[in-house]
Amino acid sequence: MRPELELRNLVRRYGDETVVDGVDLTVGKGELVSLLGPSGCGKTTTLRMIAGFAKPSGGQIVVRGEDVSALPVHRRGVGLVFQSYALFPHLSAAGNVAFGLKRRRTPRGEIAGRVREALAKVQMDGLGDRMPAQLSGGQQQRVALARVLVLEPSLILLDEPFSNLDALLRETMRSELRTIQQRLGFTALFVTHDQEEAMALSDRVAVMERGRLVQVDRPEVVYHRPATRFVAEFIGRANLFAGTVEAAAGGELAVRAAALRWQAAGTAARGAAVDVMVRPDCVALAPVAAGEEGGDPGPNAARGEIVQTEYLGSGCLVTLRTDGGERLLAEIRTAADGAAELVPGRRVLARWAARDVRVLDAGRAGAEGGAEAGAAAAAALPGAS
Amino acid sequence: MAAADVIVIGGGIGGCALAYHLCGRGRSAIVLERRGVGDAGSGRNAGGVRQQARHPAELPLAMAAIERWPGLERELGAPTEYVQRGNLVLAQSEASVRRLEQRLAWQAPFDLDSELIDGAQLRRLLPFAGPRARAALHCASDGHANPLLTTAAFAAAARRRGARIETGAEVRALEQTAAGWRAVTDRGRYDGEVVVNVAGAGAAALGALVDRSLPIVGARTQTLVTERAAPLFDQFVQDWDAKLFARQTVSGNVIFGDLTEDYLLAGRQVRPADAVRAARAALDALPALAELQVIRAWGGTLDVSLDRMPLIGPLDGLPGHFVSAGSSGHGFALAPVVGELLADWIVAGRRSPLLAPFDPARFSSTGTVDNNAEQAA
Repeated sequence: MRPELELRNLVRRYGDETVVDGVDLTVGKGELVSLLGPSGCGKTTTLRMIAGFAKPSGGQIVVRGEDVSALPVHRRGVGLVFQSYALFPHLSAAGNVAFGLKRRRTPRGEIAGRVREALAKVQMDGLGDRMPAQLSGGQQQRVALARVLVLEPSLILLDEPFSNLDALLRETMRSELRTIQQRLGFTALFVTHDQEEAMALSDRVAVMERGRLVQVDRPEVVYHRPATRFVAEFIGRANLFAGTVEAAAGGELAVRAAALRWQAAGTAARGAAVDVMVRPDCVALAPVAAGEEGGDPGPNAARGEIVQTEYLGSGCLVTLRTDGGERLLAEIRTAADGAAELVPGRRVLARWAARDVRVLDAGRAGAEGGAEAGAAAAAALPGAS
Repeated sequence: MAAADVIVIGGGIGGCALAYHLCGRGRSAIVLERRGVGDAGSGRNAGGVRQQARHPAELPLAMAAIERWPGLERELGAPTEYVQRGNLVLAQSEASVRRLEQRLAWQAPFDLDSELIDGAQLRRLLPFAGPRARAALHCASDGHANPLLTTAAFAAAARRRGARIETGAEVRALEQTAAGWRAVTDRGRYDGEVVVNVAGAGAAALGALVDRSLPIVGARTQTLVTERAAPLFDQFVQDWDAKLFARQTVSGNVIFGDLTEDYLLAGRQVRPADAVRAARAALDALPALAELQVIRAWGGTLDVSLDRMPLIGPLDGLPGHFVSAGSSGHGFALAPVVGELLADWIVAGRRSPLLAPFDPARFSSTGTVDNNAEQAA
């Protein structure tokens, strides 16, 4: 199937500064892909080039098989939703939705019906007569979305559309957007710096760092199998340690990182410098009674003392100082058995499974190959392509 | 002593348009102008009638203004020399290209027919452009007009509807009366229920008469006019790096000037240093202008506000006292719609949402909009 959007080696330079540095990305029809990265990583410039607000210095933007790089904004057939919902203040909600239809000389008889339909799609039925000043921020953002939907674009670009809304509304709006997007089947590229939003909303997340895409994959893969140290640290919380490969055989690695011993799947040469990572929610804790200390806890385990606990609601983030002096995070379910015993000062045994350990090419001298890092970064269509 | 429902202070395009619309709504109006109609900014500005590259808070108002411009000449029964052949904002530097991209992103929600074009596309639209421009913002529904003729057209139309326009009447004092306001001039006293300060660069001095500090200063601009030439270009042209504006009038003269604002000097004099700077700006952006003789020059004064956005609305604690000033060099195009909406506000007591961003109270509280925002960022 022909992809909806293809970016081919897209580059944008401003003078000597390269803001977007060879981005390749393919977005399939009906897919929602997030472009995620810290501010200044080039994600907004990438979106602006797709929208036609900025000219690429190199590369191609292909929409439904057609190179649109030279086309002006209004000829690209791309819908845009922004952070600032910027409605016409003197037009009603319906007037705002109708504006684009009138500009495009849609037959008069068609307009009212299409506007009603578009408002219904965003749960704004019956509010068409309201002026923007009479609408809440969330309602205004719904009108802004209806204004785009009414034109029936097959590709919609969203630039941090919910960042002006409060936290609760942001969550509601993103789940509504996801529902609408799946029901109507349009393709969407969603720019955000909020990793939680990207994870919650997307079919795939494209993580961007200093102008390049470093990983494009399903949210759970980006989370559990980050391609680089940057991705590991930018997405969620990570226990990340620099280490050295002590043994490698049959796709298994033994790694020593500081005072901890690790076992994990991976391929790397003996002596290679690697980073090892395990997510806090993959670390299990068990209280250690006095006299049960014993000897070496073995690989993928550490004894230590709880120094801090932080309630996150359903979970609790526990900070340990291991006996080797490492700082280790564990996220446990508040409702789990024994959770109440996990208080600061308590000694615990932390354990994690080899399958949850991610070994990353540290990019230091001596490192040999990235333990599957390269493969995961490939910007391919998911599954079916 | 004379009396009217509304005393309008300032005989520029803002004051004349306001008087015209007030009289069209059954109110009487007297316009007090210290020199002559259109003598300050209104008669001496660049004449751009532009929507694109504005702050998003001002864009809906500008789009509403452009709906009115094509019919204005017929409505007023006098020429405006309005030409709707596009606006081009040229950029020579990467920094300016970036600012153009930013403006394009700002205005995108409003579905304006504005686009970013590269140097080759620009030269197809404007073969007259010099070699340094590398990109431009183009909006086909923008254009330009003759500001002095348009101001005169509003003044004449206002008079026909019964407005009195008193020239040579400088306001020395503003007094609150039982019925409203009294303006005291050398030529007499004028009473009204409502007074509107549309005095452009003089607005701050008028504010001081009622103990209000309006953050508006005058800034001098320099304009040159060439001999008549064959048609060279029909767009309103600006260059953000050369700091130039230029348009060719219907009679063939090219009017151009320097967008650098001089806050230290006001007045209408021509200073050789400014004229040279304007000429250099022109040769930088449109080198072919070197072939034309300059036949005339003038200085003008813009009313620039602290955030470079107009102040439109009543002043706190002064019932019946409105201000409409500080348009910061982008008010000419807006004047027809601002005059109409302000007249509605005064007569019907309802503010159009289009004017909401320009509440003068923004300077006495928080929540300013800033037309310079992306320069600071």
